[in-house]
Amino acid sequence: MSSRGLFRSAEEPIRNDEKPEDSLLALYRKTRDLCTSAIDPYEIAVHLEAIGYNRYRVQKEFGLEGVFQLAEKLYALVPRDFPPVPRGIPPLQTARQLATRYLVVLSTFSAILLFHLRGGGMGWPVAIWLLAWGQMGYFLVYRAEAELAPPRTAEAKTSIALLGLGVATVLSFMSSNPWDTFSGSVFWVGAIRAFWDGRVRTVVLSAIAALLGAYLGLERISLFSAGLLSMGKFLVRSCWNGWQWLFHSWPRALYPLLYGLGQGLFLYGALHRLSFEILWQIMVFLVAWLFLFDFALHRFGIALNRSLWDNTSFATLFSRMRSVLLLCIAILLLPLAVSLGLCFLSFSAYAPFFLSGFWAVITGSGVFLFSLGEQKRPAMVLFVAGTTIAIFEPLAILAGVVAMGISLSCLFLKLRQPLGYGLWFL
Amino acid sequence: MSPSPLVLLTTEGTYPFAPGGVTSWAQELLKRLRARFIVFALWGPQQIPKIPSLPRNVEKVMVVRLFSQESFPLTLARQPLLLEKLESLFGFLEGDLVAFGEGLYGLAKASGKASSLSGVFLSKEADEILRRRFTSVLGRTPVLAERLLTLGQLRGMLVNLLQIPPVADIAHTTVNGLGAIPAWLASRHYQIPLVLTEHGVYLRERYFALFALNLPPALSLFFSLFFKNLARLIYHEASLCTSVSEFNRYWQIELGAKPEKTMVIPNGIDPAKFPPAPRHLENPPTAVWVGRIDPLKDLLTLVQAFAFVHKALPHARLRLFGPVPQGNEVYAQEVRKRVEELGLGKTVTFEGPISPVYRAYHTGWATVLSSVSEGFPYVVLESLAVGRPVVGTRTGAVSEIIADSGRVVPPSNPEALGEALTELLSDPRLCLDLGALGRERVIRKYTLENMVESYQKVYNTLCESGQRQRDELP
Repeated sequence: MSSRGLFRSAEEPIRNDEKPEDSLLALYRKTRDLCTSAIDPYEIAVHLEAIGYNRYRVQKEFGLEGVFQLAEKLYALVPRDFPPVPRGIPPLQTARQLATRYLVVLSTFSAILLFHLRGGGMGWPVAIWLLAWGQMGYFLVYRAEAELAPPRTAEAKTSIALLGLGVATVLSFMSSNPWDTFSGSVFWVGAIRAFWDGRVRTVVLSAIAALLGAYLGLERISLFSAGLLSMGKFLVRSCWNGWQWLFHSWPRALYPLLYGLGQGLFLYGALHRLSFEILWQIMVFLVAWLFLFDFALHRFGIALNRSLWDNTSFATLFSRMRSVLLLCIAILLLPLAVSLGLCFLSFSAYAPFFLSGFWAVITGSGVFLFSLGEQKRPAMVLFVAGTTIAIFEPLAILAGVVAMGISLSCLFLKLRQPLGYGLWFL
Repeated sequence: MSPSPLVLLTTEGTYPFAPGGVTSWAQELLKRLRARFIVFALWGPQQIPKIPSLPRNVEKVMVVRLFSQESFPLTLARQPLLLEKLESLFGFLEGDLVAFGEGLYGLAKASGKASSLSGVFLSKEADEILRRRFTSVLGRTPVLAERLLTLGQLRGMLVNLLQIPPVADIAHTTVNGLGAIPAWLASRHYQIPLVLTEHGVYLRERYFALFALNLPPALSLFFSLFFKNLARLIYHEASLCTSVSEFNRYWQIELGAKPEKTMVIPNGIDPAKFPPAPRHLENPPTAVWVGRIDPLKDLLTLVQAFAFVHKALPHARLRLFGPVPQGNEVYAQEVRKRVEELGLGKTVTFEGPISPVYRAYHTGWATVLSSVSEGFPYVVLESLAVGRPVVGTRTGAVSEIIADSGRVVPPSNPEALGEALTELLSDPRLCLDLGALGRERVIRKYTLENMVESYQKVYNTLCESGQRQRDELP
């Protein structure tokens, strides 16, 4: 089938079995890929010049006036179609990959929780730093994979990991229980480093080893060893190139860093007075909810991709995605609904749950906005709210309400424009 | 008329921020011309580098960011005037230059009044216009994703660019691409002469880029039409199209410039900054390459060619001087890998940047240039200026500059390049003789003085004619 566009006139196509009878066909065979993909005769002319054809050579070999005339002849030999070629979203994670990712997060998280429950404990400053570093690291690794080629990608990842570990080490030895905090940090950084390489089995095995060690009362040594095991040979594979890249690239991850800091400070303000029994219940609930929400976003991405590469209008795009979008919003608001229910039962006891409901809505909106290419606003909202709540505890509920309102309004404004988020997904 | 005219000089990704041929040209020219300048520099979303010290006659540097990450508009107000101009702008799809120009100018004028051009590009109405206009060209209705990508790219390119620049006596653009738009807008708005100076033919490089980017075909088609018609518009409307070589001039005329409005003004250098190399050559025979490591320089062909040289002259060396720009790391690694694969690890060396650059040329018997695309490469001029011959590929102005003071071979042809290099590196007498011819040729033809004088004449003539035209207006 040949395109019928005004621009696309073409003569009969060249058959594959046709024998080159003259120099033009011989040249066509030599430059077939170029001739079939070119969108303009000038594009062919440019490449002909690059392989040594100039007007004198063209006159001599083809009897034509110059390169432009030769390019037009070649261009006219092939009919062209311009089928839509889907791109952009396809590397979306499958449901299985998502499940694995959360299994990894949950197993690592459980190992640390068990460690806490056995009497250890990680200082809040280190926990906040590791959360912020995790956000920044995820973003930087994504950039490294896009910008660098192996082995520089691995060097950059190790440098990011060592940065996280370095700061965590300094903060650990400033805290009241340095060795516990340090071994927990090594485990956390090691697991994340392995996760960046997709070494899922290593992470799960390390987490199981850590859990077993903690059960046997060897928390410090088991977490420390499991962390080293996860990091493996990559611990020593940092080099000057990786650090140089990190030095230049970290400002680009400023907003994810602020976002993570905001999350940590918010949780600290809300939960630092709670006992671990309640804390771990809240944490497990929030991780499970994030899993659900990520899943809904995943479906949203698929629906959007399908609509974009169909011959749809804006109206169709909207209607196709409405149900998926509603599901996302419902899941986004789920923790708030749960905390509101608990609040009606007993406000004073469940105020932290109430705050974690706000945290969930703000974080979820942020994840949504991040996936639509918006970083600055969610990061700033969460950071300002987190700082306010951590410093001025009496203002916690008010700050949470305001921050949630701003986050939701940013999200809804963004969602009103399919062109905006469509572009980002592409 | 003011004795020293005010010139609006537009650049794109070059002067005053990025090093390279255009920046060297502008630096030398601006400080020597009797004119005052407003530099209107287009730059991408990346961080703006620190501006180096500028000549005193540069009054202002205005920077326009393309593809800057601005927020999406919060409201979708319909603006019929802007939509009408946008419809007109899409005239380029059918090659209607008048409508295209009207669209560009109309949007630029209206952008001063309306707050949000951005919203217009990403509106439902714009999508409808694009769908209608592009269907007849594409031969099918573009899908939503293609329309979004197209509108998004167009918005990124044009939103910050479409504004009327400050008043000047002459608009001078150093590029016939997006950077030419502000100069053309000034020329049209203030009725002043428009000068175009092309170092490389922008459209040619755009085609290379489109090919390498591997965009969806509909997008490639849309943007090739956009850039082709933009180039045609500027060639058609420029008072004078200067270029650095006959090769560029050939493209300009093909794309619609009137031959009588075109002129070749070759670049020039200051020979005093390039002291002659010693009149003797030390062993081992060495070829020198100078430049930034970039696919357009085709170092893979050079390395392949040097494998042929190595067979004939096992002790010959190739020294590569120049930086690896950000984004070209993978290509640089590919080149290194090829060097290793061909067993040239001890023969071909990566030396990094060098300053002053003439020291690089002094270390070799001959300089080599393997590019697949060039404008007017300073490397060739500089090497000849110190008295070292050049083996270059037949691209841009290379063969015009080298003439009889070196060897010219077809691009992407390692055998021919290797043969020419072997010839020179096995005959030191020949290198010295060709080098001497080259130095004499540069001093005679390619001096800074000649270049500045030519541009000064252009400015003076255009100022006078521009003034006459304005005087004749009612």
